[in-house]
Amino acid sequence: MKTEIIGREAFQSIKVTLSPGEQFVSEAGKMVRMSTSLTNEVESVKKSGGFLGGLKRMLGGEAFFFSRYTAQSEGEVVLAPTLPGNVGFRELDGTRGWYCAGGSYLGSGPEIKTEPKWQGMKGLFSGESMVFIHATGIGPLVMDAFGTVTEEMVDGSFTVDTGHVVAFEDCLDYTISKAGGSWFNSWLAGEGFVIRFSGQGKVLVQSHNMKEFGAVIGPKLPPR
Amino acid sequence: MQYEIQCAGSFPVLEISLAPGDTLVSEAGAMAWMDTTVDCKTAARGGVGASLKRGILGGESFFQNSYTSSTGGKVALVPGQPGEIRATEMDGQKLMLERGAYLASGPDVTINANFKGLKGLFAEGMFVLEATGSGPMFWNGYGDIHEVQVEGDYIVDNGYAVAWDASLDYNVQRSSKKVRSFLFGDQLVMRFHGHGRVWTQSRSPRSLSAWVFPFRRVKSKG
Repeated sequence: MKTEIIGREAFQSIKVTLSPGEQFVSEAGKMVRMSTSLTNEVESVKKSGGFLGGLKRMLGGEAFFFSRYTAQSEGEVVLAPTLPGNVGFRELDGTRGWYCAGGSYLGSGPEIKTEPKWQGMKGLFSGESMVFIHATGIGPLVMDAFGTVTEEMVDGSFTVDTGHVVAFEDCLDYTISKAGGSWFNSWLAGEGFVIRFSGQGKVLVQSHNMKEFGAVIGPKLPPR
Repeated sequence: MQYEIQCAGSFPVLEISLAPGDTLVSEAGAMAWMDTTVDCKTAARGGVGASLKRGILGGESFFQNSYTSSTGGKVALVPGQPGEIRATEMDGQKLMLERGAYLASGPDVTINANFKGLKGLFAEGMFVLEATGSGPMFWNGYGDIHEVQVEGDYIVDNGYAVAWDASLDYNVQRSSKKVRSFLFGDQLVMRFHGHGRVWTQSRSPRSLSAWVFPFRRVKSKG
């Protein structure tokens, strides 16, 4: 299996080349193009580990289906994010896992286990996706991002607006809270919610905030 | 007529230098800036029936601008979506373009709107343009443009194919992508067959609009 980030910084996508028998998994609907020597099977999150029941209704637009690509013979599949920017990429070696936050999970190798982890009611109020995808195992992990992706080393503590977190190592402790003031006031005022990290580990942050961009464009369209 | 793709990278601009007697045709709305010595006229694209304008184009006006200059001048064109601009010197070959990919062309390039009769299949419509003739033709994508050499079969998600050699056949198929989208078109893929090149873009305006959709304000009831 070969994974390659292609394209310019502003519009990156990921090309996965598979040998016969190899597989790759992605969030359903992220495929740009693929060889016909690959099959594309869609699985629900139930099969991949953990049935969330009524929780699915609250996912707010996040597709909770996976596409599994299997190469019958040598072939490729290209996946891309929806918004402009980088693709996040990490090669997991089994020593620690990563949490993909806010819908940033894009794809992973077949040896990577992906478990949805619900963030609870705090996640609901933050306005971001409530489900983090916990990725563990060995192999490539690909993430969606908006803007440029940079890695921050946390040594002690670090606070990030929830909309700017792409992914973080699972050795970090974290809490989701509001930047200041009361819960409901913050929520109504549209104040940012933050993730406070503590411990030692890496955090991938993105330069731009999807929710803020949606809030710029969405209201300009006819109401639904 | 000279051309230069400026700011080459993710946000290029096409700058055309018109000599007296030159004519450039472009998609309506593409003009970004131009010298005052350039004349710009808007006209309906030849041969397009009223029914096309109404239903299939979904309200989009189907006009072209033409630029001339009696003394010479420059005009800069930019497509609606940010992304790569390509220039192809047409010389008798036939190139198919997705509707949004066409940017501009010289006077001896013919652009035919060729609606593939898929109206019965989905309301969105797949609007394909045929480019023939000779001279410069400028086209674009949302994001980067990647070329794929097809030998046999190849699948491109609907919304990502911007141009392809006319030597390629294709059909539109349903795919169980289970994408949560208000656009039925998101459930479709294009299966290309034959020998030729297909050019894909690395982002899809269609996916972007599906993404923005939930951010619209909710109409208050009562």
